[in-house]
Amino acid sequence: MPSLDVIDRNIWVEIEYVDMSFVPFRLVELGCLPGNKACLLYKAPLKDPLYFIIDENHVAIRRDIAKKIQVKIID
Amino acid sequence: MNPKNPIKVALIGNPNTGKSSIFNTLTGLHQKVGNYPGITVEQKVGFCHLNTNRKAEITDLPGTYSLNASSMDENLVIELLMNKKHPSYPDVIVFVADVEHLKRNLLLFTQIKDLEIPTILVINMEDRLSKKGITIDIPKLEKALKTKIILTNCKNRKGIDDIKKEILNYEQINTKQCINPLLEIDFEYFSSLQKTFSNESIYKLWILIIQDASFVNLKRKKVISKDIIPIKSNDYLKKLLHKETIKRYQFINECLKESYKVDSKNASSFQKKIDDVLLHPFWGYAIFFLLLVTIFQIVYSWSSVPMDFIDSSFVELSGLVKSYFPSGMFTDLLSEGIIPGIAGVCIFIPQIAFLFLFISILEETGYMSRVVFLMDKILKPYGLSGKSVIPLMSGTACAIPAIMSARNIENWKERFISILVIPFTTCSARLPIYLIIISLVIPDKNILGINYQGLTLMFLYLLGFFMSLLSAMILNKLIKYNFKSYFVIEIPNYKFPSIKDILIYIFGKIKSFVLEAGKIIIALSIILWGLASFGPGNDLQEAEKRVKEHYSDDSMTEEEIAQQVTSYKLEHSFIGILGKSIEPVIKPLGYDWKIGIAIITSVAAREVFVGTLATIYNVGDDNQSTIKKRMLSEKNKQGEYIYNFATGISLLIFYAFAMQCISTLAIVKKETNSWKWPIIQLVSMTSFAYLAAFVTYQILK
Repeated sequence: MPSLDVIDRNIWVEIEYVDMSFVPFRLVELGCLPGNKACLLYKAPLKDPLYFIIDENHVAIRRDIAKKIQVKIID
Repeated sequence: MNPKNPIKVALIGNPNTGKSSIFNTLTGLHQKVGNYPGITVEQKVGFCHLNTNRKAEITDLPGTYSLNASSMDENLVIELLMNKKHPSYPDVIVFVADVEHLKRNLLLFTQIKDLEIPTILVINMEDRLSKKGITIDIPKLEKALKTKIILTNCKNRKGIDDIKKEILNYEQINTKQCINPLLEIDFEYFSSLQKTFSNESIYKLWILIIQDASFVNLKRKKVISKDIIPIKSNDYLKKLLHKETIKRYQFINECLKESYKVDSKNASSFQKKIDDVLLHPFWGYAIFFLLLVTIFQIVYSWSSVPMDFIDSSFVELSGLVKSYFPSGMFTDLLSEGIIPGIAGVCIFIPQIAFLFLFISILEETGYMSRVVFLMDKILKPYGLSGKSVIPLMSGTACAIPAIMSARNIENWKERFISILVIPFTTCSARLPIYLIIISLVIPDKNILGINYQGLTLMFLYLLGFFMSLLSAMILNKLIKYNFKSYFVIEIPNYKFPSIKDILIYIFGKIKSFVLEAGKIIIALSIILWGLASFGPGNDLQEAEKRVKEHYSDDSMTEEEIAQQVTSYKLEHSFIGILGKSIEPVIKPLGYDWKIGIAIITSVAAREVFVGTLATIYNVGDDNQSTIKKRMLSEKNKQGEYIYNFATGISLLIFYAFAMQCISTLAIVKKETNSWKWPIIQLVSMTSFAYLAAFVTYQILK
């Protein structure tokens, strides 16, 4: 199962699993929950952080966090 | 409640919901901006007339995403809402939500409702409803959320009077929870908790368990150590928190399914088009860099006109006081102590106003979050935020507005580190010293077409920047912060800034600077004036007599005698004596007592160094070339030139690192709300400067 850090830009994915031991709870509160949709919009020029739409919210997170969120491609 | 007492209102909401616009529209200029006691979190309180005989005291709380605090700012919101004895504990909460992110905003709203405080839901930015194709069934949503809903638009004041009306009638607002997820996620645990503390709200107990917030006589340890309540592991509690959030979102989805519709055809791709350019791997940085250069150029050059005007006006005022008031100590105190002190405060106002004008535009439009995104990777290793780049760069103009601008950094630790390291960046006050010393000791020659003097100046700028990054890295390791640091930032939609909000923001910044840091600057200026104007014995009173006696044979002009008297007075004042007494300490750095006096007087501000030397060397004016000639010819007792290469470089290094600015100390005191940090800064920076200058001189001499 791919993780959020490896998906291509502008492709919609569905969140399958969130590693709660690593992912900050704030991200869960911003809608990073299994079943919700996400899409990578931009990578920062130095490849980190990454800017996503997660459940209608526009958020930027670092690559190491994105790695701990597993997704399936739905687009 | 006594109807004469103002109704206490707390404004709560997620960041970027236009909460501050609502606050500004309700309170206008009746605002007080300060710090919460002991911490660097901004406290904004304002007053608003609800009708002819009732007022509201409105507290604008820091933007927060939920009641599970992950920062000091958020913790403050919880502490206030949990403690009924808190002076700002609200009678009513005005919850501000943004029409486009209602779902996420309602997560915090449902938590707030659980506290059973009367809460009004304000859905802001109503003008975006049609633009984004959103329709809301207000009565349906009011029923589901058990609250009163008001649609607002600050641009045309829509809904503002309705907010006032609802605040007045707050006692009629439904205080029931709209969802009670806790018993659903672990009935056994939460019902036993409820039985044990039957007088407390179950949700407040839960907040207490998941985080260590102060809570009306009931401490966390007492709750989790009760025998009757099984102690749960942190992992389990985290799972419960997760389940609770899912339950809340399920409820919110259910509510919005019925009452909130978005027509995706109307959703514009405007934001994406701009982001494609502003976050482009090349153009993103190029535009940001260009913006920075433009901003600092404007701050630097535009400010110089009003700054020169302020400077000359106060000099003129001092002159008028001197010529029209009877001569004596009071006139001297007024013209040489108080008026220059006030001038020393006012002189910063243009730079503060211009810098905050640009910062507020960057913040209000939503561009600042993009800056954080672009700069994060570069500044992360130093424990700084992407936003730190603005304070660090503006520090090259002046540390005062730069330190104030660090307030925009959300994370407390990043904000704190930025404040502490800014004084290392090369501010414009160092420039007169650098220029004169460089011209004295660095040859005006070229290597490969590059001028040595220019190269030295560039090196000093880089040195300042490098030192601020290095000290940030060290402080990042040393400063303990209870909250786990992580990077999750919301990228808000682009929007046009409100001129009114920007003006109120700038006015607030100037007011807080003048009232808080200003009084410290004036007090310290007066102390320095006293030290330079008084001395032991009759030396100062008899200065003129002694100078005339000494030069009785010479045919000196009146002006030259006056210069000699000023120089004599400075030498025999307390500051002069202090300068002489530190000579043994500064001798290993290559300095004599005259430089010692200049170093002490320039504690007021670095640029005073050159002026003091002009006074000591009896140079009649502040003209650079005259002072330079005089400095070049200055010799010590052994007949060696004082301003040789080693002493010059040692002085440059000293001024690059030393904390020689009382205004910076005053602003750090204001921002950190404690004298501890400016004192640490003063001692550590100046000690380091001494050590570095010592090593430099000893190697080069």
